Amino acid sequence: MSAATRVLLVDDNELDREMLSRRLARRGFAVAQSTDGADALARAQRERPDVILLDTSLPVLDGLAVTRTLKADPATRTIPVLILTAHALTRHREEALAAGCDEFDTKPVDLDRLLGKIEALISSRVARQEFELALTPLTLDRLGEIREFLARSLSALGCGAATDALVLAVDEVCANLVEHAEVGTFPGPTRVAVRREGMDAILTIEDRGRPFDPADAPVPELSSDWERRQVGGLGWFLVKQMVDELTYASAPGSDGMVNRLTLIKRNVASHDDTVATS
Amino acid sequence: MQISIVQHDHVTVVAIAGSIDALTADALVTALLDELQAGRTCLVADFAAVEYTSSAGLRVLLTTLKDARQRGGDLRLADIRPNVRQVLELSGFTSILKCFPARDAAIASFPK
Repeated sequence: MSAATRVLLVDDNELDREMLSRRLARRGFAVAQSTDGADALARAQRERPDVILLDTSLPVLDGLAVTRTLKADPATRTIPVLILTAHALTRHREEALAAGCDEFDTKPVDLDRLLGKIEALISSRVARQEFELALTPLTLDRLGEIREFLARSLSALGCGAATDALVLAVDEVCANLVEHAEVGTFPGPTRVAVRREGMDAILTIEDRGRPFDPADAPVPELSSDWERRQVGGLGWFLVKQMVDELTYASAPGSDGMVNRLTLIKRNVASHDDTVATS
Repeated sequence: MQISIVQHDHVTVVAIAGSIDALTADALVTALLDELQAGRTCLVADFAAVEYTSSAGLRVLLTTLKDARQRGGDLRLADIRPNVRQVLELSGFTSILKCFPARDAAIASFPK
C-alpha cells in the first residue's frame, strides 16, 4: 500500500478513532480525522481522500446520510466508502449497502481484514477509473471541448479504437440535447463521463431536460425533409450505428428529472493500446 | 473550421478545414448557398482537411446537393479521410453523392 494513501476516518468515539488512526499511520497511511457527519462530508468534498472509513452513529448527520450524499454527487461518488460499525446484524449491512457504501466491516476492528478491504477498494477504484466533464451550462460552442475531453480520456483508458465512434456519438447526443433543452426551465446536458470495464468503454451522458428516449427516435429517410430541421433523427441513427448497446433511464431528482443515457462500445482496445485494466 | 473558395474554370472548389458540427455547420451552408445563388452550381467540396463531421455536416451536404441539382449543377466530394468516409457510408450518403479520391479528379468529372 502506498504511503500516500489518504484515509478519512470518521468516528465520534475518541478512543476508537485515535487507536485506529495510530494503527493505520503505523502501516503508512496518511490519516485525517473527523468527528461528525457534516464535517466529514465537507472534508470529503474538499480533500477527496482515497478512502473513507465511516461510523454510522455520528452527530449532526449520520453515516448513512453522509454516504447517500457522497454517492449522489458526481464529484465524490467514486471515493470508496467503508462503513465501520459496531452494529453487526445483517439488517445493518443491508442498510449500509442500500445507502451506497462500497464495503462494510464491524468493530472491534480486525486490522488485517480491514486493510485487505481497503486495498481491494482502492485497486477496484483504479480499475474503474472514470473521467468526467461537467457541462452546465452546455452551449454548442463547447462541442469541440467535449470531443477533446473524450479523445483524451479514451486514450488514457486504453480505448483508442473506440474514439471515432464515441466522439461522434457524444457529439450527436449533446447537440440534440441542447436543442431539446428549454432555457430557464431545463438546463439540458449536465455531465459526460467515460469509464472502462474490461473490454467495454462505457459513456454516460446526463441531462436535466425533458425525458427523450433516443431508442424511440425514428430512423429518417433521405427522401424526407429532415435536413431542414435543426435536429434530425439522423444524429440518433448515427449514435445507434456507432455503439453496441444503448440504455436510457429517467428518474425524478432533487432538481427535476434526471435523464441518463448510457452508451457501450465493446472490444475497445486497439492493437497499440496499453490495456489499462486487467 | 475554415473555408477557402477557388474557381477552376466553371468548377468552384470549396476547401474545408477542421470540424463540421452543430456549431460550424451554419457558416458552411451559408458559404455553399452563396456560391449557388451566384450561379456557380458545379461545386467540389475538398474534404482533405476535414477532420470530423457530425450529422450537422451531412445536413449541409444534402441541402447543398438538392439545391445544386435543382439548378442543373452538382456537389461532389474529394479526398475524404477514412473516419469521415465512415460517417458518410453509415448514413447512406456515398450512394447519393459522388466521391473522388482527389480534388483534380472531382474537378475533371464535370463536363466542360
